[in-house]
Amino acid sequence: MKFLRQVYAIVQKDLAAELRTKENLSAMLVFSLLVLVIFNFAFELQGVDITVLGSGVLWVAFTFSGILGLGRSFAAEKDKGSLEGVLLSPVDRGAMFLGKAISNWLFITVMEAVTLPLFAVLNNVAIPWFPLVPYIVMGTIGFAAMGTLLSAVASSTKMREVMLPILLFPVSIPLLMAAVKLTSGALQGREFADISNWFNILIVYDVIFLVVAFWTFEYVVEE
Amino acid sequence: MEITLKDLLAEIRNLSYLFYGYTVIWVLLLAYLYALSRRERNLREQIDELKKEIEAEKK
Amino acid sequence: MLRTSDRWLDLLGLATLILIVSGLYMAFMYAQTEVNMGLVYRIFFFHFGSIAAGMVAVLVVGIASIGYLRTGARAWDRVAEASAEIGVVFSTIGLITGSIWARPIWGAWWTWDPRLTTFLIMWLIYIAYLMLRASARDDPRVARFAAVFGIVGVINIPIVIMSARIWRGISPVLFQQTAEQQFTFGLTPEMFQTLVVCIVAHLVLFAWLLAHRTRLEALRDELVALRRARAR
Repeated sequence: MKFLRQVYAIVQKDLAAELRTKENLSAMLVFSLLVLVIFNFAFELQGVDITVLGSGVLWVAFTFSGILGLGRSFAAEKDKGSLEGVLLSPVDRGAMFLGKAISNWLFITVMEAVTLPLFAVLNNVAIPWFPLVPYIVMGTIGFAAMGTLLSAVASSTKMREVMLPILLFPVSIPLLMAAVKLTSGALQGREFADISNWFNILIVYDVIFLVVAFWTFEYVVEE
Repeated sequence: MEITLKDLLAEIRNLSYLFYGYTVIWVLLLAYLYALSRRERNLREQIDELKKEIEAEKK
Repeated sequence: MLRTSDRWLDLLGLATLILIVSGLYMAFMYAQTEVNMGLVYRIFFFHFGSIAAGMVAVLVVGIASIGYLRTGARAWDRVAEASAEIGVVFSTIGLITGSIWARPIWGAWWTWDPRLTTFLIMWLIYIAYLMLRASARDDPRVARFAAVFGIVGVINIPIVIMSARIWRGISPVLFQQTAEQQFTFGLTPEMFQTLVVCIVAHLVLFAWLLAHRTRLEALRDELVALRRARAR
């Protein structure tokens, strides 16, 4: 119980800080919109089958914009020195990780919730909400968990802004493959049996990296 | 089996790829070995120098 | 204190030299020319040796990272760093020689075959690992950061292997035969012996380099300790 209350307190603190300034979310939203627009010109998406290329465009928008939010997640605290405050308080490191991961996941999900309808409108596609939304939510869980751990690592290095994508992208390639395949499967209205392999990969990735990140987080933040 | 000129030319081109392959292996391995030994020599020199300085300071 | 281990290291170095030279001799003189691929297939022996050493290096990084987080002993950290660096050297050789071999045989420098894809992603992860080490070098927590990333990297590899297989529409359970694999199954005894000698040679070379590279870290620690002693 105490553990859950600590997680809740961390999430609340992050949400309150974000709601005050809205810097992070607005930057992520503008960035993902820009990715959609740039891809439209880079690939000339008019005329091609958007259900084939669209999933890639969506996930590039999600991950690139998500990494912006993840990068700020610890950098902002480092600058203000508030991380030390949290670390000094008797908060369980696991609770701290979960709280951070949940608030990161929430920010990315909000960004995705705005990006997805925009994508639908800009490209004239019908979004199959039911299978697609759970896929995106699940893909975001693994990405946020891994991203929270590696953001804590990257924020302590000299080149923190560059370091996070360099660390996070190679290890999230399997997640990205699965998420893209599931998304295009949903957009094309394919049978679940055709893509169930990818669903399993996504679950395996989510579970393994939640556990690993939860277990190793304390080694990263301890002084 | 008759060997045509075409086969022979293919084999020569093949041979050049073999040459490139082993060149890459040796260049990279030797470059790494060289870098390693230079780093080690540098460190040993620095250590020896420091030790001498510490000895001198003691006296 | 390092002197006593030097003799063993030199013996290991001698063994490496003998094995590599015999591997070379066997690869060029002993194994007969393969009928379908011609001479270029002789890259394959050293290519495969580098790949094997690269894989072992990655495993060593994973084990040493777990060892470091469990015990906090600096020795594990040294081994992890050394192994990652040498692993990247071997993997780079493996990737380039594979590409050079593929050009005349497959007609392309690169294909997105599951094995190649997996290997490339693995290579990227360990490049990132080295960059992380370099960019946090002065931070006392660098060993812990690296160990965490090393564990993440090594756990990721089986997932990458699975997904790369499904990506190409290959069932993750069944073993699929690529050109490379059909070729390994069609080895003559001489080719097989050569392959074994080359793999062993590369593994011994890896061990020798690892010992040297680890000792380099030990020397660096000694230097730091001396500097600190002097500053006091």
